[in-house]
Amino acid sequence: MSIQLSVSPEVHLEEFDDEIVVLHLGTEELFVLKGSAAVFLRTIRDHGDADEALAASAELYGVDAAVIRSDFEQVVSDLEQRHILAAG
Amino acid sequence: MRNPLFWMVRAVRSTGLLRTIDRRLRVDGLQATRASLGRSPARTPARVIVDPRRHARRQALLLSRLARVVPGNTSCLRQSLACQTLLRHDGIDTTVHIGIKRVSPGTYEMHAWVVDEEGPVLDDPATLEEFRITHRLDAQ
Repeated sequence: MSIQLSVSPEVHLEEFDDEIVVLHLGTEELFVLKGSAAVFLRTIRDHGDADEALAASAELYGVDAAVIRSDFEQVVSDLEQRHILAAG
Repeated sequence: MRNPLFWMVRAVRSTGLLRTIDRRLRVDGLQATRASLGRSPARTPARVIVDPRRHARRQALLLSRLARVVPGNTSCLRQSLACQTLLRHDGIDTTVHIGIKRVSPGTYEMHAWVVDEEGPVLDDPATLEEFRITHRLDAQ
């Protein structure tokens, strides 16, 4: 069963060239994501569904989803711990 | 308003509000904090304030000075929310701007400041030009 992911309402995403700045308005912390982490967060924001976001990310990289699944899950886990993403 | 007693009382109230906002932001986040600030007491009649611009600047300056001595997080966002709330009670509507500036690749700064109809209340407009405004929070 796929998981629904959403960006916290307390979080604002701002894109600067190839970097995404994540501003958590509650804590006023800034995180900078680039590379694959930025790609994953964009696809999660756009798709919501974790499997769809993974598939979209794999398509962008031109690889099978299985190849990037562990990286994807690691990024999701990190973002959840920082209260940037919420599951369900 | 030049009444020294007013500003003494206002300093006490500003200190309490800074601490309340800090606690609420950490626990409940920005949206809930703003909603609770919007439920604050009614406004003072606007006619009491002879020079709204000067009054707003004095309030912002008071908060920036208190922020150096009040324990806890007294960031620019907390100061700005407190300033907006107190000025609203005085009948002066302002907007809190939040912006992000790229210092160098991978390094960014966030800043919040209060704006009235004439511009930034305390900050030098030139220093704000590099910030990309992400939020404009009107008084609730």
